[in-house]
Amino acid sequence: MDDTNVNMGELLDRIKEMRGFFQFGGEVIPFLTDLFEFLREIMPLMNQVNISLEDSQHKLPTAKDRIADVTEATEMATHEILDKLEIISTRLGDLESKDNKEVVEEIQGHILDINFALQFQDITSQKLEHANKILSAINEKFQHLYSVLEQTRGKSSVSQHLLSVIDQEVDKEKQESDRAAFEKETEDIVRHEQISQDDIDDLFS
Amino acid sequence: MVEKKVLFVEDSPTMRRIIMNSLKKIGFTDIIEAENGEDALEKIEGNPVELVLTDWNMPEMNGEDLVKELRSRAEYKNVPILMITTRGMKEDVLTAVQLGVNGYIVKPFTPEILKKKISKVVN
Repeated sequence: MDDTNVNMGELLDRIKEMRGFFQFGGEVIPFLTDLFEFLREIMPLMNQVNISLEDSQHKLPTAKDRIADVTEATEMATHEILDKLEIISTRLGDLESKDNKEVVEEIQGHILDINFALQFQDITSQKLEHANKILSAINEKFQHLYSVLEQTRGKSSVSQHLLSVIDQEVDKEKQESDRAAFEKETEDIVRHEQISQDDIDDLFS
Repeated sequence: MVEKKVLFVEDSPTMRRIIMNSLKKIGFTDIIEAENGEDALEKIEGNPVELVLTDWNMPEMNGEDLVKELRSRAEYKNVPILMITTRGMKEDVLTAVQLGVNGYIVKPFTPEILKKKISKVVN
């Protein structure tokens, strides 16, 4: 009799546990359904983010190089102007006489003003350098984010299955057109391997 | 004023030429040029100067560290130092004052300002 009582008690406990489990399941299932729905919606977006990150990663180093090119080009041009100013100033000094002293001094003053106006090169270079540092930092963050996303993709069989379903749902055509639009927007219009003037002339001969 | 030996520290080749041209126009003839703080300290070793013009942002050793180093040396305790920089925030100027800088010019500036500030710190 005692044994039967004990067994019944255990059974009732188990039934209680199971009821608790089903109650929990009943509460959790709607949440899981919502979560899967959310993932279904968000994953194509994440896929798009991933593609954008990949594209941006290729573009950012180019942008950095172009900024460095601008600094170099403006520095060279500024020094050419400074060379000429120094020559003019020296030649002007040689030409100075009692009669033209006032005029020569006035021109020397203007030369000095032009000289100082060229400070813009150093100032813009510093601003560009700052922009370059920001780009580097963004590039680093993008690279990190991209590698994390790549590592996360398809780590488990569930996520692999989920990704393959999402991949089928992604609008490939839209993806391609977005990519083409990004390429066009960020196209490098200043070609750095330009055709030489001689080659152009040859094409016309 | 123009007889003084000047140390001029600036990493930008463009700014070096611009300010050098101006210093020569003012009448300075004895000028030591340096690209950064370290270079400056090497060049003034055994070759003391009487006026220092320095940029702030420079590689290797910046202007802030150069001023600290100079002010820690007995022979440079009272040498006039003029800082020429793009840093125009109030905090920057206050830092420069605390470091013991005697004058401060924010780029871009005119030849007149340079002349005026040099004259002020020297006198």
